[in-house]
Order: sequence, then structure tokens, then C-alpha cells
Amino acid sequence: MSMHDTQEIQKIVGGYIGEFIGLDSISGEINVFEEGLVDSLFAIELMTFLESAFHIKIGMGDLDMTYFESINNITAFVLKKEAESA
Amino acid sequence: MGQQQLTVRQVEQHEQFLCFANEHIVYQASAWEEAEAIPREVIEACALAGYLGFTLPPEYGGQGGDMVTYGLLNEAIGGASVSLSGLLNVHTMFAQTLLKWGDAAQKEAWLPLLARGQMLGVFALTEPGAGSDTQNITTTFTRSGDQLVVTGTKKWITFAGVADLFLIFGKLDGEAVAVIIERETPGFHIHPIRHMLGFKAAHLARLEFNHCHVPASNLVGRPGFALSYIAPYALDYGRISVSFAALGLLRASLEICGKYVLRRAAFGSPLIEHGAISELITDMGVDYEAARLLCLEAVQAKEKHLPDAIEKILIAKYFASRAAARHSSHAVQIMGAIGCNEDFPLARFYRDTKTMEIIEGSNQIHQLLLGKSFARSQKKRHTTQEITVDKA
Repeated sequence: MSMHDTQEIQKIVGGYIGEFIGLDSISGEINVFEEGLVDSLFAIELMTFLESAFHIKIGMGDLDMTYFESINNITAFVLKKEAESA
Repeated sequence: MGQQQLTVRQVEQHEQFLCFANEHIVYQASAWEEAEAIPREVIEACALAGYLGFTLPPEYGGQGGDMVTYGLLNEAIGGASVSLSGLLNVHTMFAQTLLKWGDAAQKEAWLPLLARGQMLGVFALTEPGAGSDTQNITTTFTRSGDQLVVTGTKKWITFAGVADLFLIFGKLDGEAVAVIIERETPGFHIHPIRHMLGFKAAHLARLEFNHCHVPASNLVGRPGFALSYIAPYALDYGRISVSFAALGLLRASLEICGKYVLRRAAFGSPLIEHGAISELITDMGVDYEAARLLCLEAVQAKEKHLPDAIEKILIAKYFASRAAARHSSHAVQIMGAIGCNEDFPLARFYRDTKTMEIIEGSNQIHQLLLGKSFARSQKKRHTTQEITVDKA
């Protein structure tokens, strides 16, 4: 399994979210759910994307909204999952 | 079903599904609609064939089937009886939800029984006052020691009339939750709903919960995630089932009408020689081919775990259900009085395909989601047309 560093994850996740909402760049701290930038299906699409891009499994124990609310928090979550499965 | 994009094994399995449908469903389906029930032995035959645990892993007694073949299963069953495909739909939604979000104890307790069809599971989200606007659900759970107490009503729940396990969505302390409730729970009442337009044999029911006590350990996932993660995850499977069942009805309509217009003559020549009829058959065939490709692309994306699988499944469901509704109407037109008689399947197809435009998110909800998505995907594209618009 390949591990990613913080900047790589931020770039990959930022690119995906930016593509979804149609912006070239988005601050790592913005809560994309609270800002209304994404629709009701985005959460499940994001989960699928993270599982595919980083070869991690998101399960019941990972259901914490703060993990997914911003690029920075998603990055920290991916780092944690990668470390757990290393 | 054309063989492009399919493996030899998938083609063979589809043939087996069609043989099963011919043996157990095709010639009985209209009688089931009239009786508004599917006989228990037919459900048991599906269980014995492994269809109820088709997508579950072998470790739980399932078949470990891939998503493409699951789609083909729904195509074959749905083409014969969409009511019966409704069982595959809701049972798989329940089982997949448990597989993804259930804890170890829940999986051990129920997945082997679900895989073998010894228990039937259904998905209960809709309420009298909340359909696609799921945030409006009012079913309420409260804590009482190690129990949850539920009060509320669910309506239009497919196969609830014969199910053993129910995945009930509600609110707990204001947060959305999904909880498994067993049929024999005291205070839980199941009222069959009759006289539907389509899916008449799908054992629809209204569910009433009057201070039912269920173990808190039946909570699936964490509070707050039921509507954002658990329900959409399950509905993906539901839309795959409906898409392929619509495709099956489209295929069946084309088979029946194709044979008929070659054999039946009017004004001295076969119907297919008449331009107006040929146009109807052409559109039916072209839409069938398009629906088939969209359905296969959707399940291939799901099988590859691609993020855009959700959108591709929405597209497939939207297109296939609309095409099936349009062409079942044309099929009735082509067949004339035969199409209007309930002794023949086309009248049933006509009623069922209308229903398919409504279930698992109405086509208007699909338009809201897909319209925004298609528009948004153009935002970053720099084309001549966009420059022209900007300058206008």
C-alpha cells in the first residue's frame, strides 16, 4: 500500500472537491457542507472517492462528520486511516 | 441482452436467470398481480437459487456476485415480474446496508439468514408526509435504558407485508438514525396496502410503531448519518434494481411486439411494413439499446467503485424508467385490444412502468439532481460557446 504525505492528500482531495463545485482552488479550512457548496449526494460520492483514491475502507467507526467537513480535516482523516492500515 | 461488455460467465448466468424466469415467473406473474401477492414457494425458489444473497460475500453464505451480474439478475426477473424484482431490490438494500454499516454482532446475527433467504429484510424510509424530502421524517426514537422506543408511521413499504426485518429510518434526539426492527416486536403493526396501479404483488404495507421497544444494539451506524450516508448508499442498490427491471420490461415489450408485427397483417401486408408501426418499433429498439448501455455502464462503474457511479446509476434509472414507460404505452398501442387485456402481459407492463418512474426517487427528483450536475460539470469548461455567453 502506498502512503501519501499531507500535501499530496490535500492536492488530491482539493482537486476532487474543486472539480465538484467548479472552483480552481478552495481553502483547506472551509466547511464545504455548511457553506452549501455540495448537494445531498456528495457525502457518499466523497466517501467512495476517498476509498478508491487512497485504498482505505470507511466503516461505521468512521462516521464522524468532522472528518469530512473540510479539505484539512479529510487530509487528517486519510493520514489516520493510512497509518492504521500500514 | 446483447453480449457486448459482458464476460462469457455473465452471459451464461443471464441465460440461467432467464430460464428461471421462464420456469417460475413468466406464466404466473399476471395471476400474482390479480391476487396481489407472490406465493411463498416462489420466494423460496429465489432463495434456493441464491438470488436473495446474490451480492453478499460467501463468508456469510452469499453468492459473491458482481454488480453487473446483479443487474442482469434484475433484468431477467424484472422482465417477467417487476413485483418480484421488488423483493430483490429491498432485500439487497437491507443486506448491503448491514454489510457496509452494521457492526460485527449485527452481521453475524442476520447476514447468514438474509443470504439464505431464511429472513427477508426491507428498507423503510418513506412516510405519509415524507418521500424524497427525507429530512421531514417524523418517526421518533427515544432512549430508555438499553432500549430504543419508537413511535411513528411508514408507508408504501415494498414487501413489508411478508418481511421479517425492517430497516426503519427516524430521528433520535433530533439526529437521523437507522434501526433494525423485527416483525414480532410488540406494538409494531403491519397493514397491507392494496389496489396499487403497478407492483400490485409487491406486498406493500403501512407500518405503525406504537411505543415499540427495540434493543439499542439494533442501531445501524451512528446517529446523524442515516440520511447522509446510510440511505443514499442503500438507494444506489435500489436504483440499480429498478433500472435493470425497467430494461427487462423494455426487452420483453420489444420481444412481444417484434414477433407480433411480423406475424400480424393488415391491409394485405405485415404490420412492420406499415411506416407508423415501423417507427414505433424502431424507437423501442433504439431506446432499448441505449438503456442497455447506460445500465451496463452504471453497474460497471459501481463494480469498479468509481465516485461517479452514483450519477451514472441516476442516469440509467432516469432513462430506462422513462423509456420503459413510453414504450410500454406504444406496445399497448401496437397490440391493440390484446394490449388492453389483462390476460396478456402488456397491460401489466404499462401499469408497472408508470410506477417505475416514481419509485426510488421520482424522475422529477432525478431531474433536480442530474440537471444541477450536468450544469455544474460545464462550469470549468472553456469553450467558444461559453466565451460567447460571457460577452453577451
